[in-house]
Amino acid sequence: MELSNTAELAEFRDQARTWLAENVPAQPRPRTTGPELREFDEAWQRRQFDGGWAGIAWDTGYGGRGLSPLQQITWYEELVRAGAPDSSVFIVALAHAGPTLIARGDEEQKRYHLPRILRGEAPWCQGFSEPEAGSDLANVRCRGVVDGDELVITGSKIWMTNAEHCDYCELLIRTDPGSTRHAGLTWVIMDMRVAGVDVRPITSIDGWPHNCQVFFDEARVPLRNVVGGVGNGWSVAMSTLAAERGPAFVDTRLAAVVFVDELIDHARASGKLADEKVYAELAELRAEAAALRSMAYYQATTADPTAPSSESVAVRAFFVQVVGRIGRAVLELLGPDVVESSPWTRRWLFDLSEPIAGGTIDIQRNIIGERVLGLPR
Amino acid sequence: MNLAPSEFQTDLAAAARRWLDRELPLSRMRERAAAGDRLPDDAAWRGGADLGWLGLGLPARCGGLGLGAAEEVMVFRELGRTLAPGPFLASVLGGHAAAAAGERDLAAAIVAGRRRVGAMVGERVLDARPGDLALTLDPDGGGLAELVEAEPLDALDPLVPAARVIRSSPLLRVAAPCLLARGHVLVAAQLLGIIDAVRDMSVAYARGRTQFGRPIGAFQAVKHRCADMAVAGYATVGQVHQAALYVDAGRPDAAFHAAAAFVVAARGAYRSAADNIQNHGGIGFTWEHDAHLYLKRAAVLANVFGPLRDAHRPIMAPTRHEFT
Repeated sequence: MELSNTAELAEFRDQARTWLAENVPAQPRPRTTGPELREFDEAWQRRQFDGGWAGIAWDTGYGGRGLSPLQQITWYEELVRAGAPDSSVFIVALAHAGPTLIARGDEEQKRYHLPRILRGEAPWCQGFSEPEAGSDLANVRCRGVVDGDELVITGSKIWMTNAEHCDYCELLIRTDPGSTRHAGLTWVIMDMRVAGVDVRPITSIDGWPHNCQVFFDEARVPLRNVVGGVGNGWSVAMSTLAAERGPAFVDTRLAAVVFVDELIDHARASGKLADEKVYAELAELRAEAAALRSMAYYQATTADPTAPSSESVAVRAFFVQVVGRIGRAVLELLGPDVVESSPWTRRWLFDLSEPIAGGTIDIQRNIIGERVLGLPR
Repeated sequence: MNLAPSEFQTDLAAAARRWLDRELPLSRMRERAAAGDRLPDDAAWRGGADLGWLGLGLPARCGGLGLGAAEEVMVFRELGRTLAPGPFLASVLGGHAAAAAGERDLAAAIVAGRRRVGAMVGERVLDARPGDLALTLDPDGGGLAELVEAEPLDALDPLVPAARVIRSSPLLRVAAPCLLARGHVLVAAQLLGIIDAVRDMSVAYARGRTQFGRPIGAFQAVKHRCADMAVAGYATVGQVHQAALYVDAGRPDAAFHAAAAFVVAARGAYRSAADNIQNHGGIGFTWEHDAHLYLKRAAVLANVFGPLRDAHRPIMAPTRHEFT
């Protein structure tokens, strides 16, 4: 254990803060489902790349900075404190498609895709869940048939966030028709712009079309887009989920820490902090938020960030707990204002996706019980 | 911030665990407590002192080892895990209070195990007999008094004797806000040890106990409670380590992070210890089983500095959570 606030890290933080003060977009992200959304996100990602702030911990050979996990956390801390836009349509590309390619992609795939992600040129979506494969991901049925040097894909995927804005998809399909469960799956880089891909947005409980259902009707993708080899999809998907559940979402969790501060500010300004119950609830919430941040450091300095670790599942489970508490605090602070739709009610409603997305919290607790604690299935 | 224990810190914890398992095993401590013996006996108390545990974070001139809170939490986690009896917490903090007051001889006597320090909880004192010292902590600092007369009470935790103070004589008072922060960190580490222990106890039982032809750990209701214990522990450990480093560095936000560690640890320990009783079913409700001892110790520790709610104040004091 050591604070290790080295001069190098302090200087890095100063540079980040200075750059963000001058470069965070003055206008918020447009609240639209049109092309302006992607344009805004592209411009912001490109600006970070040009400033040297994209892919802090990614290899320099692929456009990254090649810096340490601690510098990555420091950057995220300054990013969320500056009120910068989140990665939005680039979240899948940055948080798990990129890390999956880094861990499992071949040289050509890495050289082609990673710089495009960092430069803000190519947003990705995730094609894992299906109507019949939710928590039970191994029940994937969407099929891919090898035809010459191509895969021909037919079936449906669902809960694909921002799919209508994305160029690529990390697609998990069944390529061995006789296979079941974890065998016979393939992880492929799907071009979302080819013929036979039909994207239909789904409106979520907050009124926003966060997710889509996508239908593939003999859509063709070159075999060279397969990552990790045909039939090895389950293992590659585990690398994706390791990234998703692990260090990749540190910025999301740190943003929650900042939001808790904002809740406290609001409660103070509105006089509601004088209410003992509100005060106690917010204090417990800030304590948990602090723990959420220290978990990021603990994980960065104890766990192998590339391996699916027990800790990363626990981090997600604890995040879900904190988000639930944030929701209760928001409702308490809103009081009767809840009858009007507002950024806070939208956030409260959106946060109800946290215990579902990326594998329900119920399944996460099974995983902790079985794989971490060794309890029987 | 590197929150991983060093090899030395890990070894320190492992050695503490071995010693505690050997010298202060729970089964024997329960028997001795039932017989009315003092826990630990003087030889064992001195033994712990000889290992340096009472002065890990104090300088050599006060009889300490010149280490810090980062090392203290490693030992306190083991004290919590093993439910070790004895006034370790108040004695370590009492040593720091005496040292902060410039009372080197007194600090050295505490560190050497010659003077035990109990904890004042309102009008009651824990783990102290007349002739011992009693520690009072508040957000501004702490005080030590000599206990003159006390009336034993029926204590909640059979391993933590409680008495009503009838007469005590003040020895010193020191203004040192960092004392309570250190206290919060050390108790948080002890509570973390309790979470560790009940998680392991529940998992062992859930793997071995069969009902409806299956180990009960196969049932989601039981499995999820066990998983929640693991999450509670993992959510606590980083914050405890971070707060210990902040206390050692004398950072202005040490009080915030220490109190946060304490609150998260206390909530986790309460829930985990209660869930552990539930996981054990009827046998977990018996006096004979150890499960209740963890819950009771969690309750004592969560209130040893006054109401748990008091810790909300340092958490809410900063205008924002500084990341630097």
